[in-house]
Amino acid sequence: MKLTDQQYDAFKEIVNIAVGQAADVLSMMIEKKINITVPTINLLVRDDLIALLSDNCGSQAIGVSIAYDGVLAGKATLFFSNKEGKSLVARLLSVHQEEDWSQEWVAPSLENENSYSFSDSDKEAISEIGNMLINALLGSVSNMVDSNFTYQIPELSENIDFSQEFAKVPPNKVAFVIETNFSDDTGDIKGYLFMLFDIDNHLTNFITMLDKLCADNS
Amino acid sequence: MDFLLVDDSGLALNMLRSKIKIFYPDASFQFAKNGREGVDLFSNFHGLGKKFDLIFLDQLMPKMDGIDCAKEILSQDPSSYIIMVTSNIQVSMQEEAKDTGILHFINKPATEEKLKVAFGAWKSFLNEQA
Repeated sequence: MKLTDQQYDAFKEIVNIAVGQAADVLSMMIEKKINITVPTINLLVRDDLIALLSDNCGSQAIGVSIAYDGVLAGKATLFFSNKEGKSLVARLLSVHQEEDWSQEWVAPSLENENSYSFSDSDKEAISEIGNMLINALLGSVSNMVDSNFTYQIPELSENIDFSQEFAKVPPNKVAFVIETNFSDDTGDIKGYLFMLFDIDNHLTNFITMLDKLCADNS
Repeated sequence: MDFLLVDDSGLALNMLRSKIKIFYPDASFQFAKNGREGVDLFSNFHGLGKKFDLIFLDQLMPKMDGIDCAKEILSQDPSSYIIMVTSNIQVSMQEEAKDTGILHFINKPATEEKLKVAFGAWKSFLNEQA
């Protein structure tokens, strides 16, 4: 599948705005400036996708995914390496600590980087961050193309091994992958947001959507 | 002041509570982690002859979502003032919430500024009803 230059340009603009919304939400949550890389859009087969994710998150990661359906369907996922996930939780706790909340929430220990256990409250916090960022991303896309998505409840996965995660996907299946990295100024908090489009059944809708957006703004 | 907060995230509940306390330090809170629990808490409170001053609902929750929760609450007491606090920023979502009878919509995270606007709208609503 090949997009025209105009379609690709429209797609990039949608993605740029959506990722900016997601970064804004994260910045509000952790009360720090968030830097984002320019999102890239690629068509990838399974093994390339596994290599890409492993390069960015290491061999083990924690992630939040939301399956969505509508004019496009697929899964959007926010990944952190385990270490960076722990840094994020620690930052959230320091920003939003309240007496009664801190009693319920045991802060993660950052002393031992090899200890990658997350408490239930850590996982709840990471799920909520994932929920907010992915919704900002998808919601922004939805509003720009004037089409509604339905979402599933966010799912949290721990100790993700990407080879196993995608083992059931056929090797030659192609998916659209939007990826961006974000981090705070210190680099302690980093994450990897990517959106996987299942284009098999939605290609026509997708192209129509881009053409309409181009026509509306020509 | 009695507030009902409904959200499946402990983080979101506590963030919201701490921000509300800036405006209403003496407020009382009840918490539910899904829409079904929210309806139950509302019904129990209502059964005691009491009324929540404000109800904050998340949209996407297990067991019962915020829209259905709002419908059940409003069927019991149409004068309930419900604010939806959600990550779902789709315009279509806001329209559905409005059609349901939800009177204010906040995109997460619920910041002090957003709550200030929401409380202002609520007070205007109360003045109009008086």
